[in-house]
Amino acid sequence: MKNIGKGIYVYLALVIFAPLLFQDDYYLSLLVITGIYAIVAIGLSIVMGLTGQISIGQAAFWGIGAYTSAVLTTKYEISPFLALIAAAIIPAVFAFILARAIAGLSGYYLAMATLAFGYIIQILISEWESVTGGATGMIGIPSIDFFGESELGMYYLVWGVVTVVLLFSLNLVESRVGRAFRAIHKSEIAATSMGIDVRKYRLLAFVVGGLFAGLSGGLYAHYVGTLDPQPFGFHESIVFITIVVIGGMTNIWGALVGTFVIEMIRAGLTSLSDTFPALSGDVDTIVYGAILVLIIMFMPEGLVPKIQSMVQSYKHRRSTATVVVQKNKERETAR
Amino acid sequence: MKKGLKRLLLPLLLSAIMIFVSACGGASEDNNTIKVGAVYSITGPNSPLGVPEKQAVEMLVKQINDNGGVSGKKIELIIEDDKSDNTEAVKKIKKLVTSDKVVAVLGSSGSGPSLGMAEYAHSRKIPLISMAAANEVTDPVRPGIFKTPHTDIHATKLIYKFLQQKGLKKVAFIYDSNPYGSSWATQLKKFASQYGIEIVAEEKYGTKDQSMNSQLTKLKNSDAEVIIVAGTNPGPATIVKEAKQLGIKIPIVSSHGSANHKFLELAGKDAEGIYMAAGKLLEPDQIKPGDPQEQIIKKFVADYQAAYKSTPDGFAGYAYDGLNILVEALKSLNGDGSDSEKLAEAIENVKYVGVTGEFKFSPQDHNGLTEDSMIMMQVKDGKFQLAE
Repeated sequence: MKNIGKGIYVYLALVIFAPLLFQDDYYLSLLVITGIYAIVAIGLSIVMGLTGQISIGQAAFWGIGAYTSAVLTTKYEISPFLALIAAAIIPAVFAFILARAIAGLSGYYLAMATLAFGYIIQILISEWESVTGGATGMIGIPSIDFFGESELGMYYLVWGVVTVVLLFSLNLVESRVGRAFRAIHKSEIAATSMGIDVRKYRLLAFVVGGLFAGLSGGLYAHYVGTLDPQPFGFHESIVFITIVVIGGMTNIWGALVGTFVIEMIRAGLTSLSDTFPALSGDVDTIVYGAILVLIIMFMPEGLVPKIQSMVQSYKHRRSTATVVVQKNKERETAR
Repeated sequence: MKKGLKRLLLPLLLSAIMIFVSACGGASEDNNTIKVGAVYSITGPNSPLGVPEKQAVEMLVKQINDNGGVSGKKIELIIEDDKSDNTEAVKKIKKLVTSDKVVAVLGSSGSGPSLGMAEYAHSRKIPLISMAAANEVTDPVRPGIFKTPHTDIHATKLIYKFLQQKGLKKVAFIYDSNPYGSSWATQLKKFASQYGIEIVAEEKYGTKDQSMNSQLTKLKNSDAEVIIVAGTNPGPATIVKEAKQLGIKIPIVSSHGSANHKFLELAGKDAEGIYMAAGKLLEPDQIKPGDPQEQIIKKFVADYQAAYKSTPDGFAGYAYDGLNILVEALKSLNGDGSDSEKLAEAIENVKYVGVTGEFKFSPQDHNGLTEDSMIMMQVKDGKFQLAE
């Protein structure tokens, strides 16, 4: 815990008190969706940011989680909470199998393999009609009763999960495993020669990423109440990558900040489009693209690491400045 | 540093409480307007549906308000775009219901977004009138959830009746793997035995497929007497063209998903002789004199042409009817839509002749249409004409 820093207290205060600011369901729903995306993004930043593996198929794990929970609760009438556990485990198993299969790949080849995996899963969902309802999808997925079936209950449940996932990941980063991840990212050869089992750790990162994505998918299914294969494709995978790159891949907080930035752009454009109709529709995709290009050009490390380094250098300058002032004062008194 | 944190927390907490208190003050209610929300897929893959829908309701709202509104109250229509995306649609209905405090919601254009919105509308008991084709929107019937388009059940029944008259019994069908096609395929299989129809072959294709040659070859080699095509443009047009190339001579029947002038454009000469189950709005000139829908269809087409210089299609009609049905219900409540449950009940009692068909809602039927609202057309000389 001690490695996490003070940021966590600010974060907790914001999470607990935010609903006081937003009374109506619309703003709460924006926050719930932000939370759902953030869980996937945190998992992806472990896969991409820490171990340096590109996954363009994260939406597939999200989809597997969503359908697992939906099928279990609607067809077998299992309690949503148990179904959520299954929604985390089954995608993790898929991630394990995928990671085993593509263990030897890296770079472009890895990206292509995950891309293909994403497509396969989306096609599987839309063709396996007897279970998933095919293209028509599933309806009547029960909502979760978390202190009442309300938007507020869902908010605290989702952000509770975000908090757990965040704390787990922050601790993971500072642990022996996290150091191994980063070593692999820097150089696989160097990591191997230091005695790190590269295969094992890459596998682990993928499984954690899949687990988080699946858990988030389960929450999504119960939150929206209906499912069809549309949200679980290439487009959503790219949104997840955009979130992680904007926030800063190497930092877990980056995933959270990135999600907020993306959701705020989306919500901001919605309210602006009331006054400027030209801003409605797919403008947000264009804005994301532009931001992505700007980030890669001017701050490839992403928002959070950039801000951190700015704060650091500011503190450094201030402390040197105070030292100079003190020395001057000492000189004055000495005179 | 701990001190710094405490200093930060207190103002944060205070401002939060202040905003909370002020938010509880309640918005001032304007008694002279009725707020109605609408969600359409104005952008994204469903935009060919959403744009005409938006135009039709905008035109209608202007007409209603210019003529004195509903029981003396003006309608304020707030239109949102769901970008053909389910999550976005759910967000938008939450905005309309909780931020804008609308009395009812119209939309959305597609089945996926509509089903998501229906879950929320149902839980909040807000009346929803959807423009989506999928039968699942109103089956099972849920209080307050309605829809205006023809369903695939109507098309199925109409086509099967037509085939009975023609004495055709062995059917092959080919369907799009999208929600429209697959839901239709289910109904075709379900109702076949009732009409003494035997399904001898079925094939499926992807929405983005460029060619359906292999599927059609299989259908050709079956002993089918007629082929039914269940898809949205451009799929059916491609199928019709390739069927001609393969020398398929048996009749081909398509339906409302492709029943528009775009189909004629895409299929060109090969469209000749194709049967099409469609709404009466498709060819206003072909409506039999004395048809109860004649007046409203002609008025709608004339108004729409005057406003947008283009002919309205079925989707514009679904949206037009949706708002008119809501207005009828509001009129019966003297323009007071504040009680959602009463409004939902009022919609259930609406009997209204619209451009899509004659709507007769009841507690058991939240679509209100029968297969008689559709007619069988045939392409002759490059035009849709009543089929004999």
